[in-house]
Amino acid sequence: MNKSIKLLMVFFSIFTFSLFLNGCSTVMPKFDKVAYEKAVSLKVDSLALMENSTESYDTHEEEVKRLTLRLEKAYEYAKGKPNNKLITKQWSIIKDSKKHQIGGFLKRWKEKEMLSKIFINESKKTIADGFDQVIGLESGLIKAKNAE
Amino acid sequence: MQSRGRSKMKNFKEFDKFVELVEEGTKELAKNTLRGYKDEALADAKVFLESSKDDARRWSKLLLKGELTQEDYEWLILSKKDVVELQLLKDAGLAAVRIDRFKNALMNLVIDTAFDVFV
Repeated sequence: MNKSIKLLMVFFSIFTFSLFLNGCSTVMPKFDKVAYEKAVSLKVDSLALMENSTESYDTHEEEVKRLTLRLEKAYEYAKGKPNNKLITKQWSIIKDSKKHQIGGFLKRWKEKEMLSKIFINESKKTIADGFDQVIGLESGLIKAKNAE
Repeated sequence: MQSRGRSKMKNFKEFDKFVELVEEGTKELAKNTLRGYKDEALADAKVFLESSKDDARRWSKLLLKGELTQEDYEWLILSKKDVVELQLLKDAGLAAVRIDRFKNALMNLVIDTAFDVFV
């Protein structure tokens, strides 16, 4: 077969498949070490701060504000990344004061002034589980990168 | 005229071979990159359901003993519901990651096969 026709067929085949694959565009971002570390660090610090909620909210108000700001930054960081809708949605649930993850817990602490040890221990489990879903997805991106 | 016709036939045969090889390779790729995902997701869901049942039982006992208030109990149930939503988002993300991997591998397969068959 004429060499130029062969090359034309190669490019035609690759072009056709690229068009097809571009139709199903990339849906997930690449692994991001900063995002992964933010999630792990916020989980540890949130659970540590929750331990203090047997004490008066007022004495820990500054720590709560600092943590809330860091949660907001993590959300904005996720939101700013392309193809990152799912992780952004996860952060929106975690930080939301109307939901029942760390954002909701901090609001409840403020409303109740202090919380019972049993409630804190039980909610620590569900809040840790919540953070684990973000961490699990971020680390799933590591596996994908390694497998390539 | 006849030789041009034969050349055209050869071109079509090579293209058929290319399609056949890509098809075979795609099946292999799908097996390697997408295999096991359903089982993993189901196992994950089963573990989660079991732990949810245990939590709900424990919270009910604590509520009956008066160690949790009705409001605490409801808050914890809703917290578990949020975990379900977060887990579904994680599962959707991990499925998408596999599809991305499959897509990249498929593109490489097409390029390699095209060069093998036509060049």
